[in-house]
Amino acid sequence: MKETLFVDKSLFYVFKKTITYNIMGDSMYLDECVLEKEYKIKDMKDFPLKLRLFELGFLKGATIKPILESPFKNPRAYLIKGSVFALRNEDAHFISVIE
Amino acid sequence: MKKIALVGNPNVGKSTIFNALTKSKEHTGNWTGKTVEVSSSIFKYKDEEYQIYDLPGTYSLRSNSKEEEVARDFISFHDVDITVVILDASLLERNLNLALQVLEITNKVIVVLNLMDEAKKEVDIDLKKLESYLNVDVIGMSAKNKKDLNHLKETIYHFKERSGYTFSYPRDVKHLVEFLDFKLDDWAKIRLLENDYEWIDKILLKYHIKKDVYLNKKLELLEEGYDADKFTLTMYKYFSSLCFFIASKVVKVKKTTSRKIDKILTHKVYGFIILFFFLLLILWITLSLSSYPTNLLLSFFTYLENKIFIKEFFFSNFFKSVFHVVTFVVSVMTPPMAIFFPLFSYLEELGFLPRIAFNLDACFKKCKSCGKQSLTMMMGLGCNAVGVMGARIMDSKKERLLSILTNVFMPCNGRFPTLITIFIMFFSFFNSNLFVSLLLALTIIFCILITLFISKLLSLTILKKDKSTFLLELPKFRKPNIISILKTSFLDKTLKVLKKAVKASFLAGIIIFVFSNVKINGNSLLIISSNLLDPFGHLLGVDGPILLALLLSFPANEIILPSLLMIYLNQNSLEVLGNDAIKEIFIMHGWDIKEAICFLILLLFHFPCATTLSIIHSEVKSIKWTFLSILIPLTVGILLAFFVNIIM
Repeated sequence: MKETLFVDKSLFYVFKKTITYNIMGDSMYLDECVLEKEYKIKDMKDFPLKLRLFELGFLKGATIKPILESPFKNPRAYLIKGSVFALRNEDAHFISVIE
Repeated sequence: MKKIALVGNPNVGKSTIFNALTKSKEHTGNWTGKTVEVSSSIFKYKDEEYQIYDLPGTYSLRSNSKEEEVARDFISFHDVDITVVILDASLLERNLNLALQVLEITNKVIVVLNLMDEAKKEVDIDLKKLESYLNVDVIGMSAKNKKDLNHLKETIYHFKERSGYTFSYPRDVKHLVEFLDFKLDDWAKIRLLENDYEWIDKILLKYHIKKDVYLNKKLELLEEGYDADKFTLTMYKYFSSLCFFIASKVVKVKKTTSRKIDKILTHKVYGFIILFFFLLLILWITLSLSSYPTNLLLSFFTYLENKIFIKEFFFSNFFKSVFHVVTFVVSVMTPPMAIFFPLFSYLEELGFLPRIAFNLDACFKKCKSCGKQSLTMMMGLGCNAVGVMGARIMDSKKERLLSILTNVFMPCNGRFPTLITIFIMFFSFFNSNLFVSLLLALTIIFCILITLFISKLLSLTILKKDKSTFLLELPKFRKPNIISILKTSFLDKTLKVLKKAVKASFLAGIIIFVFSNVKINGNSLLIISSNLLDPFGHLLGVDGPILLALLLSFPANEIILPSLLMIYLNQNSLEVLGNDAIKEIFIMHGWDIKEAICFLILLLFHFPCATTLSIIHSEVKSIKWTFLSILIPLTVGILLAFFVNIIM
């Protein structure tokens, strides 16, 4: 593997990408999560609802579970700390989670 | 007199407690954002008298919605003797945040955990432990229970200030707070460091701190790398984690609620079928139950009229005419309202409405609005004035304007009777209430589509700026208390709307009397003006009398049909007739299906009634938007009717 690495630069790129993938493996955005599966919040980007969500318990490390999908798949509802909140997918995309 | 402030999360039964304490009749419901203004009342207990303030429901004192601003200003700047913080016991983890934020400002606090009986099914809460953590009085109660209410009163009566919670802020926060050497409480200093600039201005004003002194201090801090946004974030995180920490010590979860019903209600197919079914059911029940009491009321009033106006007296014609209009409105309006409102309140208390908003959000998003608009639209079904007021639940100003401007597109209860009569006369191919309610349901769906279309149009043209967001809680289903629903929906909604309608129809009665009795060259004003409107009416597929009736019904939508009959019959007072007789008159005046459709369109889309218009004006506080709220539905109605007239 190491040998090819020095020979072909594009292969190196592929190799690098696999590594990043492995480290970040289970990190994804909230809107990509599967229903009825528990996730932990990892990070939240800046967006208008951020502070509001903090107060509702969307904190780093909090367990969150997508439990409902509206008929058009968007918005979806998430169970967090015993209450259920509906969020649009575009807003949920600002929140990254790990399994 | 002692001042008591009630703060609490939305939908936690705060208003119920307020009502129980003061015996007033504020309306309660199972969705957020009911009280936006501070309502206050007096209650007595033993020898003490208390002035009690019901603040709008909030999750925190930090965010920047209108409700939160009102609550926060009240707690921090009015010298309140006792602040009663009401929390939902079953959601303590989240709701403790509010209690902590209030405790940061004042120690004169009683923490009330409401809905204890419901919470007990799911969680165990150690009240003693919570009390020792927070160091203020903590009581658990359920607002429906009389004994618990007395306990609350006792606690208020024997209230003594305690030391309250000792906050240990993160080190960098402490450091910054010490740096600000104003003579202020810690909480106020923290607010001065946060990024809520409106609140900062208020604090500076209240504590007489010169703005330039403050800004100089802040400049020094900025050089050291302080950042207001980061600081605010730290505080948010601090409070949130503190509240979850305490909750984790106090609450033990027994069982989690199942969301099975939600799965069905939000299902791809069943979701909408159920929605439609509920709509149909409500309309059908309203329809089939209301015709009998209406007839009863009508004959009662006729009887009364014959008794009162047995002899001619001064102006008796005038009084008779007005009496006629008012009693007609009352008898046509009351039964549907008295049935519709409780049914609707039942769904509301159950927690059904947020699910509808959840289901429909995607449609509203396409039109650059958000699903909460569907809630205001449903309120508009009862009464547009109520719907316009309900638009306060919208998060952004743009969405609020959208739902105010388009609310009148929903046919309100005042237009229902006319709609139904026309349906029965011209479209009832099957003679059953169910079929008529189906037609009605379809009409409502048509109105919803128009609302969506207009919303889209508006947000593409005059309401361009804001992007809409959607964050909505789906509360647990709650078993509604039927007696209290009947009571509140009757006293609060039905009577209130009825009072307005009586006033409006009184005015309408006078106008109608003047129009039909003032004569120029032997023709009454009624005839003259309807002749004037006639050519314009023909453009829209209707005739002059219809347009005149629409104009005359500006005070109250209910009187369209009777005033139309009055014009047709060239009488000078309203006459009550059966459907067959009405149909005969209509057909005599050249009505056909096309004219009926055009009439329905104009009935659905014209201008808001007087009451709604005055409320719109007081809500938007701008002549321009009020004017647009007339212009938009009017344009839609005219264009649609014109279009139908051409193609049919």
